[in-house]
Amino acid sequence: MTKKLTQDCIKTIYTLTKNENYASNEKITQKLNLTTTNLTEILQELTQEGHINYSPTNGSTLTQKGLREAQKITSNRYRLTKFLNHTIHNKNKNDKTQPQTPPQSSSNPPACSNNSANCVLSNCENCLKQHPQGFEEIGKHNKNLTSLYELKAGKTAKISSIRGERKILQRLLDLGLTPGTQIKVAKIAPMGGPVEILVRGSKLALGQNIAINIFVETPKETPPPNEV
Amino acid sequence: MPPHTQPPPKPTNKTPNNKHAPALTFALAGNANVGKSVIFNQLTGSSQIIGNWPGKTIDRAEGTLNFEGHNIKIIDLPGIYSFSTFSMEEIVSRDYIALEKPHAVINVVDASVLERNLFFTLQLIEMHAPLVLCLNQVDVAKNKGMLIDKDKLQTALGIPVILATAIRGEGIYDVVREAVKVATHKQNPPTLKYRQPIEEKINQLQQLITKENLDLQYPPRWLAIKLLEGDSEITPLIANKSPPIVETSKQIAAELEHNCQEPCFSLIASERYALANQITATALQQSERTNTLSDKLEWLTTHKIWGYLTAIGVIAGLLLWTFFIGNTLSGIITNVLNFIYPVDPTLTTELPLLTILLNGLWGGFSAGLTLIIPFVIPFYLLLAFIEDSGILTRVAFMMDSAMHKMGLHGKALIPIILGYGCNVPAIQACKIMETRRERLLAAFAITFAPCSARTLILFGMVGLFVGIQWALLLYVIDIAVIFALGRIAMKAVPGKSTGLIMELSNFKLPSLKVVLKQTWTRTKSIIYVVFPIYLVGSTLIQAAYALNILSPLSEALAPLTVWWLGLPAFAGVLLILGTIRKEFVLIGAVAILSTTNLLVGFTPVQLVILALVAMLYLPCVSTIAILGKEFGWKAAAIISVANIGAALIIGGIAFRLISLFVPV
Repeated sequence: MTKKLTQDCIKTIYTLTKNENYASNEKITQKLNLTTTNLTEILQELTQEGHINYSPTNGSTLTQKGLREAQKITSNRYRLTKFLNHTIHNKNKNDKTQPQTPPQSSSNPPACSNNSANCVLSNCENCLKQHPQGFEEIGKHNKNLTSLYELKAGKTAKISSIRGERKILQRLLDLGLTPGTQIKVAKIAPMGGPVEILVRGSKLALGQNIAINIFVETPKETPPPNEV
Repeated sequence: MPPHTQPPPKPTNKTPNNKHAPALTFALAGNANVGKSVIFNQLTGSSQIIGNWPGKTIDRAEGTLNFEGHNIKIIDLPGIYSFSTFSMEEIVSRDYIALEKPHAVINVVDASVLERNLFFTLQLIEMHAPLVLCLNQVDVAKNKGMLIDKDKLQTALGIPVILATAIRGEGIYDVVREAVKVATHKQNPPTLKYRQPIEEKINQLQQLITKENLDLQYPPRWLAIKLLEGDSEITPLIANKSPPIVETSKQIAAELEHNCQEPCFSLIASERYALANQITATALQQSERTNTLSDKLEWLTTHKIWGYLTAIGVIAGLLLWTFFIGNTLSGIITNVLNFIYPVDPTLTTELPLLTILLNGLWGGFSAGLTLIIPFVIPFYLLLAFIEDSGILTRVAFMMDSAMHKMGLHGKALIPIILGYGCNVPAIQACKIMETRRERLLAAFAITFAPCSARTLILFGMVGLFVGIQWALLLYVIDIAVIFALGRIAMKAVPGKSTGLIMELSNFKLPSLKVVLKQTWTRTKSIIYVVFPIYLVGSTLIQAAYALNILSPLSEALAPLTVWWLGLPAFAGVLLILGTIRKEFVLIGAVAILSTTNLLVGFTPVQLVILALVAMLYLPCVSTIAILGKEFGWKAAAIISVANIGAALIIGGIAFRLISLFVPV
C-alpha cells in the first residue's frame, strides 16, 4: 500500500468526520476513487496502526493518533499548496476577523466540496494559523452549529464542540465550558474585542480567537408565519 | 442562617497556654479571587496584598496563628481552578496538598459562584484532603438572590461547611474551630461517585492500583482518575513504578473514548461538572434578583463609549487627585519646614564638614517630606481603592483588542496598571500571563510604566515648577511610548499570542480598612527603608559635589547631557543616581542645588526634558534585579539597553522640537 494512499485516506476521514460522526465506506470510496476491497485493506492497516477506529456498521473515526497524523499531513500539505493555490484562494480567503467555517456547516459547505484537499485547506486555514502545534476537538458535531463569536449579546446557546490546543481546552473545561453547557452572551466588547459570557454562575471574558473556536447550538427559533 | 456571634480570632504573639500542643498546619485553597488572602490576613494579622482581580497571590504565603492553645501555621496557596498540570500554580498547590499533607485544608469557596467552585472542591475530595469548606461571600450571594442550605451542602459533600463573610470577619472563628476538629480527629474521607460508565472504569483502575501497591503519596482513586485524564505528570510517575498499569489505563481510556466519542479528559471534566451541578441544585435556592448597583457599574464600565471614558477617567483621576492632594500637602509641609529651619543655600558655617552634613541631612529630609511623602500617600490610597473595586478586569476586557496590537491580551493591562504603583510587584504579577513570551512583553511594557517614583519626578519637577498640563502631557507621551515600543518588541520577540480567558470579578465597594492597610503597607516601606537612604544619599551627594568628585563624571557625560539633551552638565550625575532609585534624580537635584526650588538650577524646558528622560531611561536597580530573576540577565540587559536607547532618542528629539517653539 502506498504511503500517499494511506495519507489520503486519513485526510479524507478527517474531512468527512468534520461533518458527520462517522466516515462511511461509501463516501470514502467516492472521494478517493477506490474499490471497496482496496479500501477495506487500507482501513485494516490503519486500524492496526491505531490511526482509526473502524466499525463495520457505522464507518470509521480517527483516534487521537490518527487525528495528530491528519493534522501533520494537512499542515504539510497546507504549506505546499498554499503557495501553489495562492491565486485560487485569494478570493475566498478567510478573513482573520471572520469566524471560520464551523465543523458542521449545514447549508453551504466550502466552495471546494468536490476537492478533498482544498476542503481541508479552507477548513483549517485559520486553525493552523493560530495553532501551529495542532489542535484537538472536544464535543459533538451536531447540526446547525454557529461560532460563539457570531452570537449577539443577550442570546443563550448550548456548547456543542470546542477546538483548540489541549492546554486551552483544559482551561475552558476547568472553567465550566463542558460540551452541553448552557451559556449566555452578556456583552461583546467593541472593535473585535472579547465576549463576556455567563456560564455556571460566573462571568468569563473570552478573546475573539478563543470564542471563534467554540461552536454552539442555538435554540430553534420559531419560523416566521408564512404569509403570502 | 446561623448567627455569627463569635468574634474572629485575634492573632496573638502570646505564648500558647499549652506548650505541648502539637503544631498544626492549615492550607487555604480555592479558586482565584474568592477571598483566601482576606482570610489569611485576618488569621495571621499579616498584610498580604489584597486585590479584586484573579491571580494576585503568586507564591504561597505563610503566617502563624495561636488558636485556643494550638500553634497553627497557615499557608495561603495561589488561587487555581483545577488540579490539571498546565500551570505552575496548579502543580505547586497540588504537590503541597498531596505531599506535604497539611493537617487541614480550608477550601474557600465563593458562594455566589458555587457550581464552578465545587468543581475544585470535588478534586480536593478526590485527593482525600482533610477538608473544611468555607463558604465565603454569602452576603454577595444573598444580594444575587441566592440562598444556600448549609446542611444540604454538608450532606451532599460529606465535609463540614461553614458560612462566612470574611471581609467582615464573620464565620472565621467557626472555620478555624472546625479545621482544628478535622485536624485532630481523623475521619475517613468521603468518596463521591460519578455516573456509569466512567465510575466503573475508575473503579477497575483503582483496584488495580491498590493491588499493585505503588507506594505513592497520592490516593489510588485520584491516581486512577489522573491516569484516565492522561495527566502529563502522574502518567510517567506511575510508568516508572508499573508500566502495565499505564498500559491498562490507556486501553481503558481508549475504550471509553470510543464508546462516548469524546476525549477522556473532557469526559471527566464533564462528569465532575455534572456532579457539581447536581449538588448545587440540591443546596442552592435562586430567587429573583434585583438590579444592583454592581450591575449598573458593569453596564457603565463595559459600554462602548462610557467604558473607555471611565477607563481614561480612572487613570486621569488617579493622577489629578495625586497631584492636587499632593500639591496642597506639599505646600503645607514646606511652610512648616521653613518655619522650623529655612533652607538656605548660602548658609555656611566655619566648618565645611558641618555645612555638608547639615545641608545634606536636612536637604534629604525636607525633600523626602515635601516632594515624596505628600504624593505617595494619596497615590497609593487611590490605587488600592481601584485595585479593590474590581474595575481592573473590566478595563482589561475593554482594552483586549488594543493590547493584541502589542502581542498581548487584555489581562496584561492589570500588571501594567499596577506598574503605576511600583514596577517590581507589577513584573511579578506578570505571572498571570500564560506564556513566557507574553510575560516578557508585558514586563517590557511595565518598565516604561510611570511608577510612583516617576510620577514624583513628573509632579515634583514639572508639575510644581512648570505646570500640571506639562506633567500630564508627559504622561500621555509615556503611554504612547509604551504602545509604540510594545509593538516593536512584539515584532522582535517571535511567537504567537494566546487568547484571553479571564474571569470577570464582581464590583464591590472597597473596604476602607483594607484600602488603608494596603496604603500603609506600601508607604511604610518608603518611610522605613527608603527615607534613611535619602538622608545618607543626599549627604553623600553633597559631599561628593563639594569635593569635586562628580565633575569628571559630569564632563564625561556632557556630550550626551549638554549637547544632545540640552541639560546642565550636572544632570548626568542625577541620571546615574536615578538608577538606584528614580527619586534620586529629584533628591540629588535638591542636594546639589541646596534648595527645593529647582528653578534655581534649571530652565522650565530643561526640567521637562530631564523628567522625560528620567521617566524612560533605565529601570531602577530593583526592577533590573527582578527582571533578571524572572527572565534571566540577558533579557534584563536587553530591556535596559532598549530603555536607555529609547530615552535618549525621544529626549533628544523632544528637546529639539521644544526648542523650535520656546527659547531655552
